[in-house]
Amino acid sequence: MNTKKITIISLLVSLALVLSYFEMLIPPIVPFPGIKIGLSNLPVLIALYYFSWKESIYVALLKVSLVAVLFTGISGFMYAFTGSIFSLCIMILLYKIGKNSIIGVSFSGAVFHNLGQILIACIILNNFKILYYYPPLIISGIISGTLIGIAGYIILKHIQKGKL
Amino acid sequence: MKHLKLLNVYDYFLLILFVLITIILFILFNKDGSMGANVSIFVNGSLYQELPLNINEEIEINDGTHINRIKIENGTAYMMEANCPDELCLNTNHISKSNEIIVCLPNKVYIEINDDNSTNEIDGFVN
Repeated sequence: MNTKKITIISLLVSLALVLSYFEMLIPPIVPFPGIKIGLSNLPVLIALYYFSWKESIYVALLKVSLVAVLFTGISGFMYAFTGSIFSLCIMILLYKIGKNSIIGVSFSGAVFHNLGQILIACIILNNFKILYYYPPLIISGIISGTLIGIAGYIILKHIQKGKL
Repeated sequence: MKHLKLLNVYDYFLLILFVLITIILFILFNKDGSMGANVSIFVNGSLYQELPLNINEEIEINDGTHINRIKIENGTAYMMEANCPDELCLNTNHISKSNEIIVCLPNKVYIEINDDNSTNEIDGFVN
């Protein structure tokens, strides 16, 4: 791993932290547990496309750990960590298959992020009926994931042009 | 930076798949939308209290740090007060049909409506 790579990964992690914090400041758009924009997935997506799957794992795990240390604590960490692992798995899988566009990768990641979080909630509360909350979360995941995917597409296009 | 492209046919396929899963889950969870008879309150994953829906009562769950106040009124149940950081449970709708739930994740409180049949299976205590 060369210095340039370390620097860009660090920048992406700090960007993810700022976006996480920014998202905490905005009041929830829909008052429903788990519905959010997921802005901090954008640096993970960019790491995945700009480098490859390894770097996206670095960014995601560093982001989750640092957000837990700075803001949410251990209970927040469990939800965010499981969600991140689920979303990373599906995003890397779809990226490796290479058929889907960045938008498909992004919204699948969002839907699986929500799945991971709801499953960990089921385990913590010891009740699988919480899956009742999952259908609205799939729809919200598709919408927010698509928006993040479009944003990622625009950013990566500019990076390509600028030869960063 | 490989395969950077905007929406394609594989994305639509995934989209349709997810929407189908949503519809199937939604139908599964809402198939018996009959009015419920009882409200079960779970704290930390175990049954805390089970009450009939047709009473008017206020239940306070207080373990020192986590406070939740649940109100049962006119055949519906809702979260009246909670000291959780996100307060999402306060914004959820009143529940009255069987299988409807309210969850307060930070305080690990979970309220569920069920009908008479399913209550026989639960071995909880009833006040």
